[in-house]
Amino acid sequence: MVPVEYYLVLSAAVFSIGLYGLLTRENALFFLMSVELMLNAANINFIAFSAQWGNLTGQTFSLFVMALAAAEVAVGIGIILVLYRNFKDVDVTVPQEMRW
Amino acid sequence: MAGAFDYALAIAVLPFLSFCLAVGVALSGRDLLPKGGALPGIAATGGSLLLSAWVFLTVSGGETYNETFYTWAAGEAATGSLSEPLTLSFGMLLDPLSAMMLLIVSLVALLVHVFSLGYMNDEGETGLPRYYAGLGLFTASMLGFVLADNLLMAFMFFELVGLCSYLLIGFWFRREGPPSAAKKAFLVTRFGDYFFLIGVVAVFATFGTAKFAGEHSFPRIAEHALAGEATVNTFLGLEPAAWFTVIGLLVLGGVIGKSAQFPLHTWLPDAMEGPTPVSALIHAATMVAAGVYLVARMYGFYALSPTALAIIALVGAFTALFAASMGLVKDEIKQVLAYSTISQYGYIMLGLGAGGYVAGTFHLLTHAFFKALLFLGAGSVIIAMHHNEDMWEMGGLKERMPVTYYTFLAGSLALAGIVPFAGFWSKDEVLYEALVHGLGTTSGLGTALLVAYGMGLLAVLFTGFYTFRMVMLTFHGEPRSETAREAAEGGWNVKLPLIVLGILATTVGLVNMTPVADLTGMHDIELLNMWLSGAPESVSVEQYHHLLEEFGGIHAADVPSYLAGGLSLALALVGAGSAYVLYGGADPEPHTEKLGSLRGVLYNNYYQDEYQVWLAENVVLPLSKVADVFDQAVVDGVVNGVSSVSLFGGSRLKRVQDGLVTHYAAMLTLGLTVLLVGFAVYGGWF
Amino acid sequence: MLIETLIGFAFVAALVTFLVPDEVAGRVGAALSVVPLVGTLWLWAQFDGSGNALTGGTLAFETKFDLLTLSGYQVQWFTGLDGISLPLVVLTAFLTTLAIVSAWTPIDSRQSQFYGLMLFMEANLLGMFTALDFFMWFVFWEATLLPMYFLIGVWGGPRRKYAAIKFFVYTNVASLLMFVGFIALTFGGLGDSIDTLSLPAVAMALEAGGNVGSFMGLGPEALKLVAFLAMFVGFAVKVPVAPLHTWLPDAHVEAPTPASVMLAGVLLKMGTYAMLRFNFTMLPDIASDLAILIAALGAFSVIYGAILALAQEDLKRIVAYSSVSSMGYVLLGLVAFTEFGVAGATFQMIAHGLISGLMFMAVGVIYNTTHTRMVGDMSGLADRMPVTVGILIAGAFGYMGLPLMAGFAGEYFIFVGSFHSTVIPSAPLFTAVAMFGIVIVAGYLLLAMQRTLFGPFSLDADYEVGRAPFHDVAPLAVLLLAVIALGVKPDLFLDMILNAIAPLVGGGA
Repeated sequence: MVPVEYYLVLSAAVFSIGLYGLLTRENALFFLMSVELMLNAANINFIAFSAQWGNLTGQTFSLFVMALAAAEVAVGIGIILVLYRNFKDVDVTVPQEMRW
Repeated sequence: MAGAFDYALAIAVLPFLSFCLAVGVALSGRDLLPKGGALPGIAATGGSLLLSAWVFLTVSGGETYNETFYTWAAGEAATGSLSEPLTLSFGMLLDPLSAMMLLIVSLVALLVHVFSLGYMNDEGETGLPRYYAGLGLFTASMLGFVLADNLLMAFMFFELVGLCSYLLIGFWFRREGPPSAAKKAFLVTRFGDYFFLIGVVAVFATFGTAKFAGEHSFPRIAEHALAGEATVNTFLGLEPAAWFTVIGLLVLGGVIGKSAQFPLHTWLPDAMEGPTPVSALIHAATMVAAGVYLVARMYGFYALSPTALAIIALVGAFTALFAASMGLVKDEIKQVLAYSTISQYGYIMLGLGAGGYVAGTFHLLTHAFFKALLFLGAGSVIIAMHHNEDMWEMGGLKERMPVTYYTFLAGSLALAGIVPFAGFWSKDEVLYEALVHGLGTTSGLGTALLVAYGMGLLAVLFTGFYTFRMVMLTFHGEPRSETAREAAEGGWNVKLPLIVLGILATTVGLVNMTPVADLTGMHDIELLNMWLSGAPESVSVEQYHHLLEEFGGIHAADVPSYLAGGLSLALALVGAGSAYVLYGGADPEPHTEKLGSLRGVLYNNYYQDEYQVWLAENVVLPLSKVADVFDQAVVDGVVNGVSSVSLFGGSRLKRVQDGLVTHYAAMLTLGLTVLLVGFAVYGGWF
Repeated sequence: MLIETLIGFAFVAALVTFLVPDEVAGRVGAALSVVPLVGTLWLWAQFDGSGNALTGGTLAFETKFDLLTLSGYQVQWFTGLDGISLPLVVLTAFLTTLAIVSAWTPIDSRQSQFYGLMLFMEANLLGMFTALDFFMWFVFWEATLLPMYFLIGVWGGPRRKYAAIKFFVYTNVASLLMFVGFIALTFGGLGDSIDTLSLPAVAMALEAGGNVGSFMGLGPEALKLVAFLAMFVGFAVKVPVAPLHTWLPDAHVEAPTPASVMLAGVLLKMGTYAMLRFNFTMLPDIASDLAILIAALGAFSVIYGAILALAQEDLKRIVAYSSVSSMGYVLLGLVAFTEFGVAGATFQMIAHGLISGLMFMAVGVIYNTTHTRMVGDMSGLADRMPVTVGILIAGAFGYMGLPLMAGFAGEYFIFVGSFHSTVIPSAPLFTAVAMFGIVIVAGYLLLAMQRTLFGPFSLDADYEVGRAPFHDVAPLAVLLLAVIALGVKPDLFLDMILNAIAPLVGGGA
């Protein structure tokens, strides 16, 4: 059996990639993808620990997370479409009106 | 059996009812009552007078009354430093002193009501229901004050009397002067009452009771405490004797305010802005008398403290001299009378302070009548002069208004202290008491009394002079103005009170002719002395003598009273005679002008008003303005500062929310990291 | 259930008034407010409580049932009256009705909302004075702020927004402080020794002594001290005690007259009432330790407020500052821990409620006709509106402590009580200093009266000045009669107050 540490390293790597993308990219679609990566990093953790402890709750949760991710993508894409319609661009640094 | 005492409460209630009636009429705004409400007032004060007389007769039969009739507030437990629960109650104390005072007050009140018919109604004043309401409430309060059996009740009615004085002085509120004078009168007396109120509170806290008479009364408890037979609370680490002196002086604050003694006398001359009958009732015969009456009422307490007695005597004598000197140069008839009032109350204080309880009370009695007479006489003159009060515009009124002249003359002789008019006997007795006790007492009190005697004696000279200067200028010589030439005397409602008071001012002194008694050895003609001796033990003359000797250390030297009396009579005659010489001519000159700058000082009342006004306007008001600025700038400034800092901080901090999603994400991450590090450190992961 | 019925009725009345058309709202509101008034008078007549509500006395009209459990604490619906709260409840209902009537003239827009808010405030005030469980009490306590915020913010003067926000934020921050103090004391200090936050339970647990544990590194005594200070400061803002008073003049000046009446008449009493209930009943030992400080604050408030009143030109500001002054006496009386001190303080709450209500109303009537409140703008009003001015003069003398009016009774009881206090060191000196307030109050009121009411008539505006309408003057007259009645016969309330405060006397000693 693969030790749980390996999974954790993998998940940390995936999470960091997602975080990096979130912090550096300016394209909204990349944002969405980065968030997906981070969510999946969490999923890996859930499943790894689920396997480790032989408890199914973790796997159930990962299903929830997937559903949540799907919903989020649906809303996210919608927002991006509106963004594009308003600004002719999907650059997140362009819209700055929602402040103060 | 229903005796006089069962109806005694009605003495005060009757005028109160007339007040209620007059207020109702005033509120209705219509002319519902004939004579603007004067008749109910006359009926009520007449009723009070009859009842007072009945009470007087009953008291002279040897009966007295000292009962509580209403419990205002009663505590349930002994708390703080008290050893028994407090009870604050209203009661009546009917003894010779209060019976005498009731008679004075109700008689003068009745006469003033009658006189007002001439002074107010016949002159066509408006707002008469308000005027009679004020008179009614005043009479009721004053009578309530006289009836009071304890210090708290006395204080309460004392204050109500002050309110009435405010309302009546400010009767002509549409002018500038009267409201200002009314304010001043209330405020200055309130300043004195502040000390009085502390005194009342202190009496309760010290003795647990404020009753004037009886075994369980505060003067009695104080006496026992000084004799070591009882213990009382004292405060601020003082010995009983010292603490009692403090209490006595605190209460004296109220007395000085109400009886217009130095340095709180400044309100009284201004109070002459009120209608003249009001001046007669309030500022001569009754309200001002309330102060000294209070000293007489709790004389058993003052007799315990030589220091308090010395201060009373000195304040009184100084005021007598001080006020008399200002009276020398006044041009307005009511101003002369105002200063003579202050001066005469100084004598009463001197008498009481010198251990002459009977003497002080005697002068209170005679002064009430002759000063009411003089004020009403002045009122009669003022009616005739169409409200011109300047004596230099008068002259020669003697022929035109004979009743006023002769009664006024009787009053003036009494005021100046010329034998055999009332004032002679009483003033002489006051001075005599000061002299014999001053000579007989060895302590500092004796010296104080001698000094006071000297001042009092000098004031006799002044009194004679200003009194007859006033008489000469007003009634003698040639008329000095058109109005004076055409002056005419008022109707019966003016003359009747004058005649009644004139007779009293002439004769009332005969009730206590001590010099005659000394000369003839017939001591049973000292009626007042005997009358006041008939009081219950705790408030009797004998008790006071005992206390004065035992605790006050006062002893009498053996000086024949007729010698002292002769001396003061001689001085009075010199004063009156010189006034006659200087002003008796057909067209007198303003001789006081020759005094030069001294006249300026006297005419301006030693700048007493100026410094008090200066204190108010240049110290208190600026202080309050500074406090206001401080409050707005500093106290509120801190509050507003806190809000400004919050707003400013918020306005800066909100710039973090710059709308850039990337920055939000970065902050999120940063926050997470900080939290993780925090947990790691505190959780001991490292 | 009488109390609940009254509170519930007041809420319903508020809603009904909110919904009726503006033209009739004033009449409807007044009519509806009569019901709680009659109800509280009935409570007064039927009052059969004895002792203090917080120290195991017998409550009148008690209702108690469990609402829910929060982390081991029972939250209860718990109401009842004792001799301290009953007079305040009567005062609330009485002033609300009069204030509503006095609003008929000045309030000329959004009437239904105005009267609805007044009734809503009454409901919350009744709840606040009757509640004996901390949670409910706190909810009512906070909920009274809302209507007052809107009353000032919507119907107020030119600077109404500033005043309303200042009022709300200041008192709300204070409430927060108080809340933290109380919770620290009960959760932290008393811990498991109580299972409910009903005020009697807390008070009795504290009285039993030794129950208070350590919390957050504070020992029992330190915790009690901190809790005391937090609660004291929290309530002191409401009273208000100088120097925490600056919201009051602004709020009064901007508030419409009826709101001022309620603010001065009842809302300020919330502070002293809560102080009495919390600080002085629950932690008398700390209060006794701090007596010299509290007495000094009381005396300072009296003199400072009075001196500030002397400098004001706006009639409402004068009365507002004098409220600071008068409430200072209450503080002095409470900390004296003598029978007449504490009872006098409670009595003074009622007396000042009536008299300050009267003064604000009278000033309001003058403002209705002259459209100015500035002392320098007018003179000789007595000539034009004699009845109003007459009542104003009577009220002013009541404020100055004229005997046989309620103000004198309250102040005199306090003076007597604090003079012989054994809790305040050098009590006579503090009393004497505070008493000087009666001279200054006479000074500024007489001065203002002389300038505005007397002398020849003049007005720096072109309004027609005539007699005020009957429904403006009637509430004044009613209030004046109440003030005189209480002054002549303080036993109307004093008996039950004495009975209720008896267990508190003596302080921690």
